[in-house]
Amino acid sequence: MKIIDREDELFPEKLKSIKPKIKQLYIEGNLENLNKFSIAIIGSRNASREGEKTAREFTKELCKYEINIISGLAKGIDSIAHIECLENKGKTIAVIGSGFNYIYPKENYKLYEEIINNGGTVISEYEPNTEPCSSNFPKRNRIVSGLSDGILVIEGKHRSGTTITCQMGLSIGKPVFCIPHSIYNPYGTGPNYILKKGGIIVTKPQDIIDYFGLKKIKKEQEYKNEILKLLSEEILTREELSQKTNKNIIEINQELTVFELDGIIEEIPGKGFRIIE
Amino acid sequence: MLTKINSIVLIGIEGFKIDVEVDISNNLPKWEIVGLPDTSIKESKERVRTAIKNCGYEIRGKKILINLAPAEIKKEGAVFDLAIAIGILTNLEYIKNKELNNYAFLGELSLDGKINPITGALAMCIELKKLGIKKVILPKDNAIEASIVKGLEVYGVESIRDTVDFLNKEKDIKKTEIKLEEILKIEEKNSTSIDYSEVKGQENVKRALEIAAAGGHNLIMIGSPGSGKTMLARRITTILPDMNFEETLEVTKIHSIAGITNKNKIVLKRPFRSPHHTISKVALVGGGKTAKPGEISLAHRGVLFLDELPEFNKSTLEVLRGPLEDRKVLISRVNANYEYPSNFMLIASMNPCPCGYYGSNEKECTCSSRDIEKYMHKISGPLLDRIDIQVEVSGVDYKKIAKVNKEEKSEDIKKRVNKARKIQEERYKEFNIFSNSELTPKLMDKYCELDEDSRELLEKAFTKLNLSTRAYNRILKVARTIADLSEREKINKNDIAEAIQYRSLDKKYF
Repeated sequence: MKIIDREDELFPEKLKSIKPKIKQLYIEGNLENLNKFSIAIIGSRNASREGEKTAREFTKELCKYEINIISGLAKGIDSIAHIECLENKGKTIAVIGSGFNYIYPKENYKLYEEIINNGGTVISEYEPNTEPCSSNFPKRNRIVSGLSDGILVIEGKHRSGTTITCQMGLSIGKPVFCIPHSIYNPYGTGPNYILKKGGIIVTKPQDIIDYFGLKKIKKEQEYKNEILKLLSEEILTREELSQKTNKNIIEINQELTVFELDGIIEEIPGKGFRIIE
Repeated sequence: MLTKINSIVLIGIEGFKIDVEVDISNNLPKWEIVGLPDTSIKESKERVRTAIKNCGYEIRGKKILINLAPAEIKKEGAVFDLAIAIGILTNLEYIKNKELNNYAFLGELSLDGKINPITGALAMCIELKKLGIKKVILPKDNAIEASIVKGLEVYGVESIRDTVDFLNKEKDIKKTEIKLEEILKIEEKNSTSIDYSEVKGQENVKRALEIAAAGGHNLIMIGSPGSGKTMLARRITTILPDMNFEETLEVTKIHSIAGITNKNKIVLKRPFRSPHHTISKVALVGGGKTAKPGEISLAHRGVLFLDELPEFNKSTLEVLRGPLEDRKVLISRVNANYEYPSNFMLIASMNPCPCGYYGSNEKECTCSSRDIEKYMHKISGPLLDRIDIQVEVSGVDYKKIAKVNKEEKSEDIKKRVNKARKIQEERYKEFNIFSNSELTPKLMDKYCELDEDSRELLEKAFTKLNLSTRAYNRILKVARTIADLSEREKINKNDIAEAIQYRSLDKKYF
């Protein structure tokens, strides 16, 4: 763990102007991440299925552009953003609202370790023995909004931690991207409120990319194997693969195992197999 | 004067010989039955007396004492009626047969002297033969089921008169003999016409079911409503391997104790039991006031199908754990312990989430990840660990169905299954097991040897997919069956690769 204060040259420029002033930062993991281009992905702890799906899709796409993903290591959308980012070999930053000796929630301790071990960063403004306290969590949200170059709100109730982060972001001039929701959806009240206050409406990951005018970094791969070639175009079930390749289900299953163990493909329940990008 | 007649009592599926001793003296008229009888036997006093009287035999003015020995075994049911009646008639010298100790008598009497059928006749006859009895006289309706016991002469009788005349050699009753083949032929004609060729697509699930049938593996299907899980499961009876003679005997024995045999009285096809999810613990594993085998024993050597597994009461499902491992169930009572075999194949089905549409193309799922987690937690890890094959069933797109070429018939699948099962029976004949699913860790070391390539693949899967040791063994057993299906002696890399695909629930999404 490293401790850097405001005078330290490593102290991120972005955080110097935010108020209330940050005295010092406790940092675990990669220090360089703090000054890279990053987007915060935030949302409710009690995520809906659709919310999770949206978070996954956006994180995955943003990772292709080597954008760092910032979130708060909480349950729900936060965890999903971190996990999905790690799975796509991106760098992720978790801003926590307690000390390092009290990772909260406890279930995410493993995730916390994984973030550090995979080139990510975990930061806190509290000294290691600070216990989780509900009043500290809104405060850490100012670091989340300050550290990011843009904020993406997936879902959340009005007057929740999520909206606090967004309002902080708007007040310091950061773009806040919102997923639009039905007016009857309780988890949509947060993003819808922010939209009224000056948020930017986004319906696909490309909207964010276009806003910043970024370019894709990773290239699509060419596959020689028949199964992989088919899978790189669309998600297919075993039966569909068997029909398209004229191979019987036994051979298909055998080949799929080998690719799966090599980490080239993965199975999505109910849908079939896809290439891991 | 004293006479002794052989009969039998069942405790669980085990039989104990009972001596029905009758002593008649010219004393004050009285009837007494001793030897730990329950109410139904005490009542038989009146039944037997009236039945004998109505057949025209004179028994007035005697003191009759009946003893059911040994006295420490609790006896119940009306099975001893016939033995008691014969004992009395022999004692009074209406029957003059000197070789009565070669015979055993089973049967319930009706007041007019007719003999009513009993439950458990086959089980009793199997046990009687073990106890060294050569000839059995029992109700005519039970004669067919009893006659499949080899080396036992079975005589079916209709009334007390019949029996007395037969024993006095005044009337000829032929011993009952049946030919299994003939019954099989009749049965096949009447068999229901379901077939796997009716299920379009779903090759992967069909293949998984084929493997399950061949190796006797437990299987679970996960899929949205309407994807065809129940349809696929019901058709498994059409590809299950034929039962050998010992198996037929075992199964019929249990069904006869439960009193649910069909018209032919012999169960020739592997049973398929699908209890509703409201079933109680006792109905599932057996027991009750007078202990009866439960669904798991009725499914012995066959299939227990639990549709919508998470809907079952959790504690009801947990009682399956023991029987799934031990392949038998022990029910303890103060007076006796009842042991029933329960070597069944478990086929279960479930939805992927409470609303049923997680991962489906038809409808969007409305469940939160918490709901899904809760739903999955209804099935405990230890229970899932005992299921060798986990396979996903996805709905079939109707536009694509039209293009699908002709589906394979059950008959053809069954041929492969039968072959694979023969190989297993041959291989394990000295260990008293029939299929790969019953392999113990020690036997697995011997028969599931891996070459360098397959070991490497399995180890890779073990670390990459975070498999438990049980899951590791599960894959090995399934791979063994896959190798048997293609009639290979050694398991190769491809078998392992295929087996690894049948573990959908181990994946983190569920």
